[in-house]
Amino acid sequence: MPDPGAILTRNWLHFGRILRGLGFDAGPARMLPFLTALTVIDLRRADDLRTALHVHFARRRDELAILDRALAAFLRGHVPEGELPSSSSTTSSERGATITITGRQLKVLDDESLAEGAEEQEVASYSQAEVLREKDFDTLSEAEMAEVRRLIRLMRLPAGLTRSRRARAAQPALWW
Amino acid sequence: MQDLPVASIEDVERALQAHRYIADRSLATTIFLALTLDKPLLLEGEAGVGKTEVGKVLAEILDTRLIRLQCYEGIDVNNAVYEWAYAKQMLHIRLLESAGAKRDETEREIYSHQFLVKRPLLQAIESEGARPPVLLIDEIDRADDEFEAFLLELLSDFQISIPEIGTIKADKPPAVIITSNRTREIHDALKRRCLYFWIDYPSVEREYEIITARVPDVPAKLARQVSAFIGEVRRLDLYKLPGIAETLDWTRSLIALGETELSEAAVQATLGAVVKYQEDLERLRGAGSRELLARAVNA
Repeated sequence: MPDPGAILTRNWLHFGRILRGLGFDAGPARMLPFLTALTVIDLRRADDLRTALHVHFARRRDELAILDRALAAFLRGHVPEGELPSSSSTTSSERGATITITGRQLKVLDDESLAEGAEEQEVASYSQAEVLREKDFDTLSEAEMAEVRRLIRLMRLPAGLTRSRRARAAQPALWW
Repeated sequence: MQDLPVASIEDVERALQAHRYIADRSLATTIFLALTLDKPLLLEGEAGVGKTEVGKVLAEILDTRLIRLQCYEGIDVNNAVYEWAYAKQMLHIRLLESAGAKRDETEREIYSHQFLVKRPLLQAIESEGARPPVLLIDEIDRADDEFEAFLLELLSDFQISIPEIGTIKADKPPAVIITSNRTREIHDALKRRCLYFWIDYPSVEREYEIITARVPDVPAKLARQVSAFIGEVRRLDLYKLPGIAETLDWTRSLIALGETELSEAAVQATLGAVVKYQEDLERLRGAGSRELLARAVNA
């Protein structure tokens, strides 16, 4: 019978690979303290597990939601077998209850309603931002205009950051 | 792993509560992990949400010394780590010369601990108390990028290299809290060495608890109305949203004026304690502070 501790560790290491696939810094330098953290918290408490994940892998606030979705998808574990990384030569039974998902699957799982029948295929999707991008300003409702303003505020120029004496980003004009 | 006075997340929660710091369990979990794993903790969040207070409260909980380094634009190794007492060194050289000392003996003497002025980071590393200190590096985002590089060695190995003396390593690593208001992005190399936690504005219910804990003489009705009003204000698109510090200042202002509940006149007279920019003040009045007040009172 496989050692449950080893299986658990292996599963979390697979999770680390998923995080790397999503662009997170989840190399050994991060995974080792994370695995240590898992030994000192109560794994039955989802909130503690979530916090441990956040504090080890997030680098900015907007990454927290992505980590939450990745963890939720990982723990749901309904992802089909056979998605294991090619570098692994062990069989499924040797690995125990290994769970693995790809970054692409996580994107599909992003929408709960689509998650049930999710497949690695084209999925019909809808993007409010895309709809707004296509519309003329004079056809926008007040709510849509507010959303456009919000999206514009979130936009960043592709140029690299340069040092300035400004301590804080400029705010939108007050009449907005 | 240190011999900690807090042995579990629940202990940290209780200790924070006992020191009148009202926090979510996630912050208690983060502090527990930082202490257990000996990792620096990077706290990000808007100004006034209680980041600096975490460092202060942690020093009280651990019953140890708080060493604080306030960052600012232009801070360098001389202000943060160490500096040689040049005037004292010059004087000593003269004395040695008059005593006929040899050159290498003079050099050895003037670059010794005797002439080393220890700044906060070195003090934290060399601290000799029963418990290691809490090192609070406040508002790191105000410092220049180059200064972050100084911190890398300290945060990964808890050691500082002084070319003339050698490497000084902490016997017991200090508990390090770094705060940032996120006015600029902190370098990834620094973040990699820390645990990261974002402190958000509290919910209305949580803010009510904070007010009653930090301002014990506040009437319950006033505390409830203040927390609801601030919650409404934070929905507005202001240049600077009020933090917990502003909420507490405002509550104390209202108490000082003898108010036991919010009224239109009291709000108008004290809005300056809530928002700190003229544009925000105008915006708040324009947005109908009367309506906000009505919603807060009925909440």
